Amino acid sequence: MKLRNMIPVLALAFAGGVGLMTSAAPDAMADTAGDSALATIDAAINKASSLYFEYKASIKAPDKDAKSLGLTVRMKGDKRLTEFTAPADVKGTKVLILSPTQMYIYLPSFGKVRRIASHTTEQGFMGLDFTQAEMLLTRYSPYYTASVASDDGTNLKLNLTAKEGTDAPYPKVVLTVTKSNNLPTQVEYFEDASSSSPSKTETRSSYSCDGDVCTPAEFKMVDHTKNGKYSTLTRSKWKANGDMSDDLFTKRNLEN
Amino acid sequence: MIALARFLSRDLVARIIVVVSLALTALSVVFALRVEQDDNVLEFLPKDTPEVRSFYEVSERFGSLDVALVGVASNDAFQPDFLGRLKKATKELNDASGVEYALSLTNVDDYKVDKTKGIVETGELVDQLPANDAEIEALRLHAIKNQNVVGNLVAKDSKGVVVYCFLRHGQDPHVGADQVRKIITANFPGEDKFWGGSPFISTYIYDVTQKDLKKLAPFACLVIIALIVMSFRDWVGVAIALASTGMGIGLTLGLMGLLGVRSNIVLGSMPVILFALGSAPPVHILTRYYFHRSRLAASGVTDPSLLNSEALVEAIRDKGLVVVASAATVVAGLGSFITMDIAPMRVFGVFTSLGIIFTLLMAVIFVPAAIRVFRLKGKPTPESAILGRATAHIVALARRYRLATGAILVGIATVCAFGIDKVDTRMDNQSFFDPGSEPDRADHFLHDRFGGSLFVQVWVKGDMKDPYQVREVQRLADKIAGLPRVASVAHIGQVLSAANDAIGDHLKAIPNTGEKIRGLYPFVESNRAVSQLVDETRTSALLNVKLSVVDIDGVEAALTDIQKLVKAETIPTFVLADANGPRAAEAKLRRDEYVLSHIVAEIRRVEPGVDEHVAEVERIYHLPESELPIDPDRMKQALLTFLLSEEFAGDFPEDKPKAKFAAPVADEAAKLPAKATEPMLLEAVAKGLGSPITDEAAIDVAHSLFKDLGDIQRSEARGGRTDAFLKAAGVPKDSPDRELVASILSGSLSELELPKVVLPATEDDTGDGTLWAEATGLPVLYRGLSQSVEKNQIWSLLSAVVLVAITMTIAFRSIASGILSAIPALFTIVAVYGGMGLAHIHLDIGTSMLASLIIGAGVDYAIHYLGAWRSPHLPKGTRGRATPGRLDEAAHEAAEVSGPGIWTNALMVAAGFFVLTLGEARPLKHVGTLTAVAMVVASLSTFLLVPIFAKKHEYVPGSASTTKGGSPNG
Repeated sequence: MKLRNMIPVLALAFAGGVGLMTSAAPDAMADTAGDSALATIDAAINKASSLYFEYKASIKAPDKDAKSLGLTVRMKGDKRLTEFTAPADVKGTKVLILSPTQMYIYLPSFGKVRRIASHTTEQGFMGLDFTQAEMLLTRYSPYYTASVASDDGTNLKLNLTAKEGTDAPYPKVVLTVTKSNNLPTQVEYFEDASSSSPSKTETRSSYSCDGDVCTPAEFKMVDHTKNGKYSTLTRSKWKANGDMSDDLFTKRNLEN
Repeated sequence: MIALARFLSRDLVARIIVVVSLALTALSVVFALRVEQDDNVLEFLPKDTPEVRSFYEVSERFGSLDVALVGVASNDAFQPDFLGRLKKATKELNDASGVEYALSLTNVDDYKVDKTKGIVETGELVDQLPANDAEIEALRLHAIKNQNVVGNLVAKDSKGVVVYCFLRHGQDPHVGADQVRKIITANFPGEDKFWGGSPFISTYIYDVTQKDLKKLAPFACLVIIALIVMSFRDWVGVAIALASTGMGIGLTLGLMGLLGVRSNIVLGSMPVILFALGSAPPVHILTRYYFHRSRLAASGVTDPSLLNSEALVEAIRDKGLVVVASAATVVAGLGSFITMDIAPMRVFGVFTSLGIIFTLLMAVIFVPAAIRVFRLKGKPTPESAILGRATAHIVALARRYRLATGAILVGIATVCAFGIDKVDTRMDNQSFFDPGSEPDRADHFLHDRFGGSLFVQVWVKGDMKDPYQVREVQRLADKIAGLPRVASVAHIGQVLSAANDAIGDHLKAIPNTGEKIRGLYPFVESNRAVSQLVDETRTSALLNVKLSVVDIDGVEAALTDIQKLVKAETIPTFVLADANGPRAAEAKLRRDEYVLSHIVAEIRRVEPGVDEHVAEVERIYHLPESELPIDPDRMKQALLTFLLSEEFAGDFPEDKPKAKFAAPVADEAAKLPAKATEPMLLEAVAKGLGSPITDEAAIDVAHSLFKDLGDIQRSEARGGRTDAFLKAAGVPKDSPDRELVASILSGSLSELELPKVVLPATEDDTGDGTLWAEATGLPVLYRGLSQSVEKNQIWSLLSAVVLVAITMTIAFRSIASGILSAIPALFTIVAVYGGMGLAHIHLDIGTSMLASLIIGAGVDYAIHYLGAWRSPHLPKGTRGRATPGRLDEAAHEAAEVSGPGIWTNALMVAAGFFVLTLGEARPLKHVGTLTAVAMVVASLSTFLLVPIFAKKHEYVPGSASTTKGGSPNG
């Protein structure tokens, strides 16, 4: 059975969530400079009460033509609704996440809602390099302890080490943030804590703000284990803290 | 030649030549070390053959077909410790640079459908390691329900697993195979491991051959040196002979390095062949030098320098032209390789020809110079004289009993000619390893526990988004799965069926519309295992056929069956005929045949004896529905399960909770007939809820339920027939596979609801689409390579014989003489190739190289023998036909003169190659044995056949001198 790739569809619901996401994981104590900075970063990227995004996703593997996806993402509290708008094969496919354990998918060609549960976090929808594990990582403090690697006055680099007993997706993460707004510009993911070479590098660029909520206009994920294959999520439209009916986040709405 | 000999015998010239030769050789070694090895067997296939084009295109579209299969034995593969290590190893393999994708029990995709909760759980089969015995058994039972797992990734008895490692396309198989071996060994140090599949077999053959060469080559050299020492009784002479040949080989390899030519399995044999052929000229010249030095000393010459220079001049005069003529014929024979359509063989022909020229140059320039510089002494040995006289006796017998000798040789040739007919050309790896060897153990493990280890692919071109064309892929797969010698077939239809079951129609069948298929692809396409079955454009699919045989005859038979079936069952241009349209009868027949073959194929996976019950299965298939009524309790339970699940999107009224009112609603809905309308369902729901049909909650529940009511009714209707199939086929009720197969059979029956059927287009119809299918994969390539080698071998042999005959005709200025000189080579070819057929030794790339060696050696010996052919009682230069008495004298004299040199060369090469047969590597054993035999047969046949057919007083005027009563040697 080859269905694990449906999970990143669910993960894509989190695509714009760097400005909003909350996590069910327990809060951690921040008693060092690194941990304190990390708590500040978590707060900075989780400010909005609701968010609406339109994204264009692009997947580019070496020696292959780029593939494109279109999607809209709505978020309110823990609830997220993602709808794919392109290409034609997936247009109308919707994913509803009511909680980390309550996820539904609607495939228009079948006209049915299916509830999904998953453990797999390592593969991407239509070859996307963003996986559920990375997308779910919107609060770092519950999973990592931080130490300051460098501080040049403009950028702060933190080395994150996975806390024992948590489901941290990577044993080591190196986070680079802009000190002026405490928002990440680069996230390096390491499969091996002792390695100096990341397996993946995510860049978040061109932040813009709607009120006090700031989100990146582009996410780019490079997979170094796949000859530099990369995916980008480019924001074409967004709104923070707008009105969003709770009815949007129902199974019945998926079928409409 | 005399002038050259005089020139070379000058001290200064000789020293310069020796120094320059050594310097050139040293430089060559530097370049020779840069020669890289290319073990890609595909390079041997002509690029424009359909097999190769298909193979490359398939590899481009679907990824590598080069699969390393690692078997690991275990007492219980589901134990947490073993699974943990397997999971870790699988991850490490997937991160390895030489591995494109690794698939094992732990990372195979899996889903669980919980119908009571309406949840589809997706992930890898082993997301979490089982923590206790109950979880171990639960995992084991669940694995059985995944049709890709048992028999493919884990043995049915749980006592072994296989990891499939798809190596990166186009890379040296050593890279990926070594990485796989290292990772698996590190994770499973205590378990029995089995290394199967083409990458491991080819690297095993290469490694064992290299190991044997390293181990045995010193002994072979010792034997050769011992033989030359016995002949020369002079260490300096031995060193000069070996150095001359070695330098020629070194110059050739250096040129390859300079030009960036990569070595391969054929070019790798070039040094050996050059040694066999290139060692003859220095041996002949040296033995002749020893003879003349001895003769001159006996005649009273005492000045060592004069002895040395005069003997040198005489040796060159005797043998110079002969070795040049001999080399010319070898080059002409090897030149035939240039006509081949296999690029590495052409390169082999070019560089081996160059190597012969280099060794010749070394023999006629370096050897005389070295003889002069080192003031070579030595003398003819008693053994040489004995060898010469023994040869003369053989020749005398051949002359005396010409008819009998001829008859015996013709008889041998005739028997061998029958053997030639039995020579089988095989390029498959399996013919290169012995029972009990590492690949043989892997073959047994994979065959006994997993059904097979060899794969053939069937490439299908068509629209893989079209439900009917995907069904044609499934139809083809079902037919192939029914062939003998086929263990299983994997195809995209299975993947789409499973996806449809999980998140689509909850039906294990290919979705029935293109929209549904297109909707499912994004969920399955990123998985690299799926990319092996369908390409990105969805215009090609690949069927992975696992064969249950490994022996070449079985593989060949399976391949032939598959190719015939593919040709017969593929509809090139088809129409989608309406099931109830003008071609309804034809459509029904084809649909019945498709559904039935799928049902039988699926039952066969759990009950191999189903073929004995096909008639009963067919009878049940045709039973009217009235004879297989729906069980009302099952229908009610199915409806209730759905209503209580998360997948039911409707809302029961607050005053009538789902937990309490779902059952009465299910009761009423279960009574509805098939194809009930929404108003009919509303009436039933309202009755169940105890509400009027105008009640909004009842309308909402009915509306939500109506979408699935038809599916549930049809599913339950199929359930009764499915149970009957399983009963008829003898599948036990407690069989762990029963649930999986039942769901597949139920899906198969849903095919009957499709409105269209694929039929061949009629002559006046352009059709709705086209389908194309072809078998490909490594076994197809190996067969193509075998055919190519066979064709090239025949063509190159014929052209080599013709070229050699022409060259010798020119050299002897006589067609008859040219043909005569080629007769021993022809006889040797017939004897050796016939012997191969009788001994069941296959013709492969390695053994096909023998032809050049045989022609070279056979002609070389004939030339040397004919070069010495002269009646001692007639003046030199006497031409024309000789009387029998004179012929006897000439044959005897030539045998005494040339015999020692010819035998020395033949025996030293034969003995050297014989040593190589004492190792483990089968390719070396074959080449070693055949070369040793070829050298002996070539020399012996020269002394038997030439005396029978020779007619002249002399063939090469003035080439060799003899001294009556002396001790001819060389």
